Amino acid sequence: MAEIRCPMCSQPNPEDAEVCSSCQARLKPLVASGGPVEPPGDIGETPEPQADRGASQETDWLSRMRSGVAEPAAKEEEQAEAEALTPDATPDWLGRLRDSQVPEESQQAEQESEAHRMPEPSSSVEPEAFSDTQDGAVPDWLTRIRQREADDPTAQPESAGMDEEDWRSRLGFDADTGAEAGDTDISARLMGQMEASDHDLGLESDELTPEISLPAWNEPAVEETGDQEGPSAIAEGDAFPALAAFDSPQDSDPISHEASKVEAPWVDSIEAPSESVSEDVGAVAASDTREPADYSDALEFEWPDAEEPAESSEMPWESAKQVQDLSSETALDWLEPGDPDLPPQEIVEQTEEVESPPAMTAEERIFGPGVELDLDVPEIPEPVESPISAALIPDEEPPAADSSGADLSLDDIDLPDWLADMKDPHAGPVPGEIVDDAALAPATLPSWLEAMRPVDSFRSVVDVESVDSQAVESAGPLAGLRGVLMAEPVVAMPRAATIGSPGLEVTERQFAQAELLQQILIEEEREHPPIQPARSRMPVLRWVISIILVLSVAMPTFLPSIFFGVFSKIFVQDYDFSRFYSVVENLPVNAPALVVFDYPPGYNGELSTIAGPFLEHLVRRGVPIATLSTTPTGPALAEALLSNYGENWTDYIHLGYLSGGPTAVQVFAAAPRSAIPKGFKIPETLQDSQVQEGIQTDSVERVWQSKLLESVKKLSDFSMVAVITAGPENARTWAEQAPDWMEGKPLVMILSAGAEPLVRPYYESTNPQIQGILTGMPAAVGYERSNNGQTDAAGNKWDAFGFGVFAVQLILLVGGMYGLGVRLWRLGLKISKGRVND
Amino acid sequence: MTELSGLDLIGTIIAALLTVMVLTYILGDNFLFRLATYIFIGVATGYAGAVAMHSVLVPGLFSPMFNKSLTELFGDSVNIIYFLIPCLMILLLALKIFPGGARYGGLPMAILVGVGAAVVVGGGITGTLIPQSLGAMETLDPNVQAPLTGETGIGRVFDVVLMLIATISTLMYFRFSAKRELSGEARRTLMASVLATVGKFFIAATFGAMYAGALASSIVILVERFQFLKDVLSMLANMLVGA
Repeated sequence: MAEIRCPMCSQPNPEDAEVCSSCQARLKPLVASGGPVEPPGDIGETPEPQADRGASQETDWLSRMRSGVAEPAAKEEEQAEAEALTPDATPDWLGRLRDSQVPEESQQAEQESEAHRMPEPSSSVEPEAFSDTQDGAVPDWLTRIRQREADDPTAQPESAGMDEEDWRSRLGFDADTGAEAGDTDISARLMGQMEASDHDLGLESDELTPEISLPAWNEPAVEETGDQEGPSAIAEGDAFPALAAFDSPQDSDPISHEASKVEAPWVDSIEAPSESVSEDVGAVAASDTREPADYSDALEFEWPDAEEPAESSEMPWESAKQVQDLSSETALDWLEPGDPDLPPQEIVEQTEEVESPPAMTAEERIFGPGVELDLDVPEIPEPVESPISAALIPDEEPPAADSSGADLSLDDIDLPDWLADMKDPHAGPVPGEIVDDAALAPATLPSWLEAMRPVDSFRSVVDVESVDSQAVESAGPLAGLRGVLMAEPVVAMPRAATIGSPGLEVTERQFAQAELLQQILIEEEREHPPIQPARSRMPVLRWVISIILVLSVAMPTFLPSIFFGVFSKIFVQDYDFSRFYSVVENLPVNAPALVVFDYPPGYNGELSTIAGPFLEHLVRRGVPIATLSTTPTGPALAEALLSNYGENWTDYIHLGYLSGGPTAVQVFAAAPRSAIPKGFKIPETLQDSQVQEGIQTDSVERVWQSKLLESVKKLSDFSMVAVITAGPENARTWAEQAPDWMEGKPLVMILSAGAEPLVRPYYESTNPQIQGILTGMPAAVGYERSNNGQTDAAGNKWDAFGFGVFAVQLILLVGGMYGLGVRLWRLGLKISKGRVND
Repeated sequence: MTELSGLDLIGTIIAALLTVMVLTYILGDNFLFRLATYIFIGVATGYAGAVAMHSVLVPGLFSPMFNKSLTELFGDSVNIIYFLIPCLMILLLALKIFPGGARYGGLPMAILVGVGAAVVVGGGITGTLIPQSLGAMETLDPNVQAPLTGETGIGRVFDVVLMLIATISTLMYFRFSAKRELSGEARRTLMASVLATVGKFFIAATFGAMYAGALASSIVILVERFQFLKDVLSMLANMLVGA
């Protein structure tokens, strides 16, 4: 049992199936009113002539197609007629076109070779519309096509079915489905393609196919046959042998895919349709997204069942009135027989009177019985093709147009390459497919049609010479190869610049930089002699100054004051001393005084001289002294100084080393007992008077157990805080952290002469944070005189200090004068030189 | 100088020698001076380490660790706060020795730096910035008497105005904002330039006073050293004579 390929999914289905079992697409087109329509035959081949086919039928429609080129007015009338057709008309030939699709590529190739041949229109189909313009004479162009086909040995219709096979294979019909004689019906196939397009658009074929109105030239063929057989082959000698397949709708079997692949060379002679037609065709083509060789969609409209012939007398393809909406202004208009520029709608309208074709497969209707078509067409990504245009454009060149300019000449149509390539590979090339005829005007393919040109069929405009004629490379790595680009004349050959290079413009700055760079490079290359070691010079100035200072200090020290006791007689009391002395003098004796030793050992000579009288004053008054230091060497310095004035743990006590910097000072200020866990230089043996009551003398480990610190719980319990420091940082730290915790207790500073300028603002402010300041030798000498009425350590140093300071002042004065003189002398030189230059 | 014991005598002699070695710098950089310098640095560092160990680590870390039981250490909240947590921080800080554990010492370092900065900044604001700013805004009433010096009248007003000008000009000297002119050069305004120049003089005067004080301190120190040498020589002479 023959199988029918679904035009949508290419799935095999039983021959009598109406819808596809997988995708539910209609396999058989619905028969349009107007009678049976013979399935179209191969467009590109000459179908077997049938006795019942009248040449007048095909000539009529062909004549109308030709006349349509020269008579646009007639085209408009026919368009109007096409629009008046009932929407339910489904051309049978289109249905057979669809049903005869066969997915075998080999059959498609066979069909392609014959697709160029003009299918013979079915003699049984004689649309009345086509008979209006002609008296039944065969158009010249069709004659030429047939003649050419007859002359072409490869195109010999060994069997009309072979031509039909080619034609139908190009159309995608399956030649094995047994289409009778190569009755082709271009209109039916076109309508089938249009329906396929509609199917892609989501339109139901049931809705579309009835509305398709196929050209009327198919009708006579259907009427004559009166059966459901496929379109009878075009009568011999007809110019459209492939169209015969559309003329005898023998049955309603769906046309296989291969039927759509049949080439129709006679289409080449068809003149380019008018603009509106082109637009129509383009609209249909745009809606059809399948490849040009895939005619399966072209057959995608409902075919009437084989058991149920078309209800109306219309051709099956007439029943495809549904696509009238699309085809009314679409490509089929120009397919009107005898009037290629007519819109398909007119063609469809003309088929109203065609009787329903007998039950035939679409392939049989198109290509005739016994023709197998391969509708298996590989998908081509582009271009978008309209099956209608594909069915109309055969590969073979139509016969040369004769002198009758009104005749439609296929030579004038410029076939797209993809149609030209749809040839039977076994058949071989068909030379001279398109005959240039001076009478035929060259057709210009519209852009949409050009876009449908498949990529593989692209023909280069530029002639590429054959490989054999190309030169053989003789040198280089590509030696022996042909077609190598000539590199030497382009790359190797030096050539002058086509454009003259502008002159280099160098600015002065660039020139100078370039010269500098050049000098640097020359300097790098020049050999430099080794650098002689600098001769060491005697530090005469240093020696002189050193000698002056040593003598000024050492002589008063080593020699008796008789000779250098000048400064002892000159003494000016420091005005800050009295305030400091009064503060210490007013201290209570029941509370210890905290003395902080925050100076390095290097300043011990100065600060011990200044702080000595102060400490002596405290000890003399009986004020207990607690020492503390934020430096590791502070407790040792405190012991060395205080040991000269009192006794440890009796007159003074060492709290030890307070580590942590400013943070530790704040911690001590907030909680002294927790900040100092252990003292410094605790005596090995303690007396009861030295420790608090109730504490074992041999177990004393904490300095806070001393009787001197018995009443001290917080910082304000000290009677005074005295900071002895040589740097302003330590003084500022105590001045910032301690006053808030002292609750009005005095804070005094014993400072080195260098730190006094930075600490004095804390003393001389409106709200002073420091209540007393003692600094320098004058203060120390004055304190000693206040304590003892005589000088001691500080007094002994006063003369040497005086001479030393005097020497320093003298050196600074001499040095300043020398520097000023040198500067003035140089300035004078500049002025004199300036005058000379002027 | 009183009679010294054996070690004290040795120490005194060594101190005298080191003093002479340092004074040889008058002749230029020499070996004796550098030796004395190296000895000073080493002894000072060693003594500081010994004091830190004896005064801080032993009473604060080792003594509680070895003398107290675990119950006393972990049972008392005071011990936990003042001992265990600091021990943990010490261990984390010690990990900075190793490259892999250096990041774990970031926490104690952050605590140290953060607390120290907070104390310094807080003290600087409350103890220096605000009081000094208030001190610079004294009244110009001539009848008011200075609390410390007792100065009054025009002299005090002059001092107040001078202090105000010195403060403003000194601060203006350290203001480096300038306007860029069309030529690309940045220049201060005329008033800013004048005030900056006046402030420069006050700053120079301050530095001069500080330098003078440093010179005076140096002279005193030199005198004290020569007196020490004199005392040592006298002692030695007496010892030699007595012997």
